[in-house]
Amino acid sequence: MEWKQIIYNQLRERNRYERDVYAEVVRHYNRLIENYSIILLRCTEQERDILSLRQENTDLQKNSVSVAGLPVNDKVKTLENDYMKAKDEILTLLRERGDITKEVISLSRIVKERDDKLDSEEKKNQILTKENISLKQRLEAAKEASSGLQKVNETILDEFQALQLAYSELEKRQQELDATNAFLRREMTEKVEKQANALDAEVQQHQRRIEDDVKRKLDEAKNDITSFSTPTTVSTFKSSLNDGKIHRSPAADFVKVVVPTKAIAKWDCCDNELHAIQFHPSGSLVATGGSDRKIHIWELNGNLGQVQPAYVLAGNNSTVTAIDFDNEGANLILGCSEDFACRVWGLADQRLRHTLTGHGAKVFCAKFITASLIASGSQDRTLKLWDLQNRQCVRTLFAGSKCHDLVALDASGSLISGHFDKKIRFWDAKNDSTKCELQLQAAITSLAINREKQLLLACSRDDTLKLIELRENRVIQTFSHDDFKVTSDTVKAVLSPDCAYACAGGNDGSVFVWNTTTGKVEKVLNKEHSTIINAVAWHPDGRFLVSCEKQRRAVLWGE
Amino acid sequence: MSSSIDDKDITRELWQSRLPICFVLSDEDISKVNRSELPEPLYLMLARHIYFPCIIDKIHRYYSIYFKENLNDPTNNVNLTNLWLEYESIPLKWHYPIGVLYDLYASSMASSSARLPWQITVHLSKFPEGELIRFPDKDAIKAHYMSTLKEADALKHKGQIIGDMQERDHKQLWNSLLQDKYESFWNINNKLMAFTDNLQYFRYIPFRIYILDKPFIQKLFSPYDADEGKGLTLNDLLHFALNHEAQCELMANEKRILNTNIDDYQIVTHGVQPPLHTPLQWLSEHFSYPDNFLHICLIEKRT
Repeated sequence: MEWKQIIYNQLRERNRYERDVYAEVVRHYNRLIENYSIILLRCTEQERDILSLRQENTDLQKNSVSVAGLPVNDKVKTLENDYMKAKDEILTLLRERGDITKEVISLSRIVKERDDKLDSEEKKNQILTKENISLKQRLEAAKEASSGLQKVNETILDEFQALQLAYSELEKRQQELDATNAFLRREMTEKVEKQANALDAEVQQHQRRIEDDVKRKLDEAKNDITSFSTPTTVSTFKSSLNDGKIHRSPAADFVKVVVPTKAIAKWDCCDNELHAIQFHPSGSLVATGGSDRKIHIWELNGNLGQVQPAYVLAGNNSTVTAIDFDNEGANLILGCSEDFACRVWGLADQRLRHTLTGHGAKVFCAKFITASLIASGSQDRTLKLWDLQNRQCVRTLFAGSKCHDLVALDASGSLISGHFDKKIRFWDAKNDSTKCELQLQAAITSLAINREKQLLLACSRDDTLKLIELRENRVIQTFSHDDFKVTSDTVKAVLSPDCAYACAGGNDGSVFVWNTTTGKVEKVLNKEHSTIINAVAWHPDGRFLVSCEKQRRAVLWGE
Repeated sequence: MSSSIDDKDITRELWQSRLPICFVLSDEDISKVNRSELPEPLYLMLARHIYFPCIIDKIHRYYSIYFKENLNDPTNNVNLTNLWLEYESIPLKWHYPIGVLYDLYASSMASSSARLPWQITVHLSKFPEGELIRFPDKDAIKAHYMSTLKEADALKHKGQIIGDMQERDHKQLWNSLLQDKYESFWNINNKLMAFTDNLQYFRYIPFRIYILDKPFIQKLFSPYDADEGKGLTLNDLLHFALNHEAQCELMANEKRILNTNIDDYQIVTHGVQPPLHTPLQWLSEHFSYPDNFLHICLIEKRT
């Protein structure tokens, strides 16, 4: 593009020629012109000033020329006057100035005071505002606290109301319950009354039935038997029947008691001494216990007159002192032994049911009061009542003397016990103290009670048997014999089931049977035993009598 | 000498053109000065692409000092509204750019007595009513500039670009011209140098050819020969324009016909003589005056 180059070069050349050469010069020239014009202006001004000054000057000169024409004195006077006036003016002005400065000073002082006051006021103000702030804060805090308390108060009120409601509810319920309670109580008393009435009616009915039965049988008996002193037995029966007491075994009401004449069977029970013998209420079993620590059960076949061993109950740790069967059909046998304990077996399974420990010494006697209540008396001078359901001793009666035998009066636990200290004690079921005591001549070795619980046979060491009437607690009969000697503390005497006879064994091996009404010995059974007879038992039917001697022989006596 | 020359360098050189001009008060006016001092000549460095009315304020201020009393006197002939400029008894038209006037009348090629600084006589009286219109104020000269610009754009782009421009762009063009701000001016002027209608050249080239004692020649001329598929040059333009003008004169039965021989002329624009084979399109884009016209002076060579 050489045309571009040519053009460019021409342009550069032109600029150099036209501009560069003259630019500076023109600039400087213009500046000079400016300065020149400024100077011109100033010059003209100054000329004007000069002119005006000159004018003034000439005016002044004219004036001075005109002034110079006046006389001198007047001039001086006027000058002096002017001077005086000027001086006075100056004085007044100075005085005014002084006053003004004083005012200024006082005013400035006042201002200062006001400033000080203002400062102090401001400080007070600050303090007050601070206090105000702190008070406000406290107020806020107090408000918060009070609102908090209010809330708490409200909640407490609510709770209180709720509790009140609950309380009224509970009160209502309580009233309802009281009402129902009273109602139920009334019902219960009514029912109890009804029950009692029903029982009374039943009892009366029963009694009437018995009476009818007795009458019937008496009529029958009148025809066959002559050896019975029926009037007395009937009277005793009647008297005993009129007691209204409930009989223990109503099934075996009427028994035919026979005085045994000869020995039907005899057998050796065990290897050691025999201490106890007892009939099962059914009459088919005999239990013996002795110092072999076992209780032997023997089956009795009455018709054939045979005794067979049935089974053996073990478990005692020492000599068995007494045996009792329960009368309520529970098939329990109770044996107490010299190992301080009584034991209960079941006859059906021959299993040891209970072991009642608690006595401190040998247990001499134990009897079933009910199927679940047992009374035991021991050498430790106490009697204990045991509850078989709890297997606990429920009561302990402190007798004060060894208890050799006891009998139960009724199902509630009233007892009669015979002791070493010649006393027969009657115990009340309710409290633990003796209701009554009966003093005899010698230590009591055994007690027996008749079925109606009217007569008590006590055998004592003074070789006598005493028959005590329980209503008056009076000895009505004393049985003795020349050969009858009681040489042991545990010789047992029994009453026949109809209470016509009393039987006991002597120390020479003879069994004595007394008639309770006459008091005379009815029979003496001897020649079978050789040693002291420890215990006798009468068959529940009355047909047999069994006795056991110390030298392991037991004999069944019958007709 | 050099590597490729950027078009920007050329346009910058154009922008930085300055002519030293000396304004001298006319003799009869000097005699009217009622001060003891006579006004010194006023020297100014003026750009080639601006117009005389742009600096009329300066001239007013300068001479009003000297004519203070006279100015207030209505009967006086000396009046700033009567101001007119003259060079060698040629009253200068105020709507031509200064550079054009100089190249036509006062350059070394035009006048044998030409020398720098260009001495212009300032007249304050005896306004030549028949030949000149009185100097306008700033708004009038701006309006003249804008209308010339619109005419150029009409030729180049059917007036589309100047029509899309906002008022503030027009103002920016004129103000940067007055304040001599090259960047600010060319920011907007570049938009006017763009192409439209998918052409790679202007539709017609805006140009005016000035010959002494004749009105300027302006024709419709495209910078691209579609038939031959090449860009046209300055030579082609001048040929076409002169011949066309000569024909018009012939048709009008003018007494003196234009000399159409290019070699008899010196082709001057912006004070330089570009080579005749310079591409016309390029000239229009980069060598136009700020009013987007190519002002070309044809000066008869002196024999």
